[in-house]
Amino acid sequence: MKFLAGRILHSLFLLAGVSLLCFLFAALAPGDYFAELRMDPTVSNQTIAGLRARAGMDRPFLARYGAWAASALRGEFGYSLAYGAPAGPIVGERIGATLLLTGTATLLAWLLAVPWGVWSAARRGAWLDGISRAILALLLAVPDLLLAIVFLALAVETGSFPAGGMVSRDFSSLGAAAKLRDAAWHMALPVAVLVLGMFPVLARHVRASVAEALDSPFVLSARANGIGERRLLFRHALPAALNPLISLFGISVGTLLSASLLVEVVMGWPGLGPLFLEAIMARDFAIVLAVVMLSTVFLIAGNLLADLLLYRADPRIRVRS
Amino acid sequence: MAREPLLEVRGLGKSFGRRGVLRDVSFELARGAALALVGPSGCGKSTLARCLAGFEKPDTGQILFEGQSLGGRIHPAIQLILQQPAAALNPRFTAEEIVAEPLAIQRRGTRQARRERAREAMERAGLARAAAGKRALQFSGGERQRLAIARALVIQPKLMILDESLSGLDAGVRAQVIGWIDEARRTTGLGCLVVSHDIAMVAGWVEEIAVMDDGAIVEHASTARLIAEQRHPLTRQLWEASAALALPS
Repeated sequence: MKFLAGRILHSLFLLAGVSLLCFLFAALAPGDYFAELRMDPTVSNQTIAGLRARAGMDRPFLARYGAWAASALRGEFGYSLAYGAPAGPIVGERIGATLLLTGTATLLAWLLAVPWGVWSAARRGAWLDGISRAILALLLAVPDLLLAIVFLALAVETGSFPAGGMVSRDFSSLGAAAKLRDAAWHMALPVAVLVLGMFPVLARHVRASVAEALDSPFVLSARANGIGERRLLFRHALPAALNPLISLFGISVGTLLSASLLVEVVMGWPGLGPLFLEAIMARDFAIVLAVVMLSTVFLIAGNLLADLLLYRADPRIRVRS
Repeated sequence: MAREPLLEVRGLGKSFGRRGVLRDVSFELARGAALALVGPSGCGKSTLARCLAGFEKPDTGQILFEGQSLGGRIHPAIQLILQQPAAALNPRFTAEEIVAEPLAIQRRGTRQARRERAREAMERAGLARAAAGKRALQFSGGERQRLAIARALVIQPKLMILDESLSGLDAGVRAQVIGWIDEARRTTGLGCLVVSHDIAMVAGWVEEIAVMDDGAIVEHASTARLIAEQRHPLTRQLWEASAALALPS
């Protein structure tokens, strides 16, 4: 309990620090939402100054930060000048689509990577392991964006997959099973791109962790007792390999909001990615800050989850605590 | 009367790349006997121990255990106790689980019987029964070593290989552990191979000593004869170094 309270308190301090820094960087960034209006000769400087004053941009930094922090605590995360509404609900509407995509991709990537990595580690040094490592290195070398573009081109060329969007136009008129099929059909390509991006990283980590555990002296001692491969793997090697994998799982959870932003933009997925990009281009900082803060919350929550899982999984941490 | 050989090593050779680590190593170990392999670091004694335990496959030669060729396989009746006790014990296991694990692997007895035997073995190794629930990292270095020895002896092996396993123990605990191993030698015919760099330490215990240098046995005799004659310069060197180290204490 004390461990949990300490970690939560630490997380809150971290969140406050990140929010202050993000707000500072947004304030220091050149230009603002009204920058483009200055190029328009029909709009006077006085009008622009009036608009900036109405948006509260002429107030001192700390006053602006205080007002924004209070708004963030209410879940509004400031006022989006582009949408003319609080940023929180606008971002909230898009989170579901992003989490559906990244959650599915993360789950699939882990489901593939764990057996692949364990299999490869158990055969380390053998030619099959060599082939596995070459495949992973190749996948790792291909950027996600290139994969997204290639998949998109294939979708357009063959017409077998939709080239964007989350559902078909006639989605509302479909039955439950058809709705599920339609959503899966739209998700297939973006999820495949994300899985191919995440999988080699995860599989390599799983392989390295399990291989290290299999080479540890206590595994050697267990081998000396004539232990079977199954018991060796499940009772000794996998628990020993768990710690780095739990930390990696925490990062996976932590990046659920940010892992797919560019892929969403390229593949026309209506999640946070396109909203975030538009907000950056328009210098609509309330939206940008809302997305960054929510990503930070996920990152901190992912790390907290990893800490708690480590505490649960590793008796050594409990002993030290 | 000559005792029945437990282990026969004939012309063993092993190379890592171009480097020959073992060269034509041959010796015998009788049931209930104790033989020490001594030599400087890098002379190949730990590689020999690993070959005997089945962790390394020799390139040439033969290892016969109870008259049967091991063929590079691990034999559960041969127990190797490694140099680093902390790393050789699963840090996630309790002391009782660590000691009972070999029994569980070999499916000996019920769970309750295994727990009881593990606690008995811990007690014999000088560890309190109450410590059964503690994890490896909660023990001192010497206690971990005793835990490793208790784990090896609990399954009543036929051959025990101690790879510098007694070096980290203080004299009192070492005497206690040696006494326990000697009892197993008398009662169950346990053969013991002691790998060490400290010739003086093993001389007070084992009946035979083989001195190794550069992958080969350069002198092999009964302890009394080897210490008295010291035919090979390395034997003299090791003895003098051991004696010099022993003097200050």
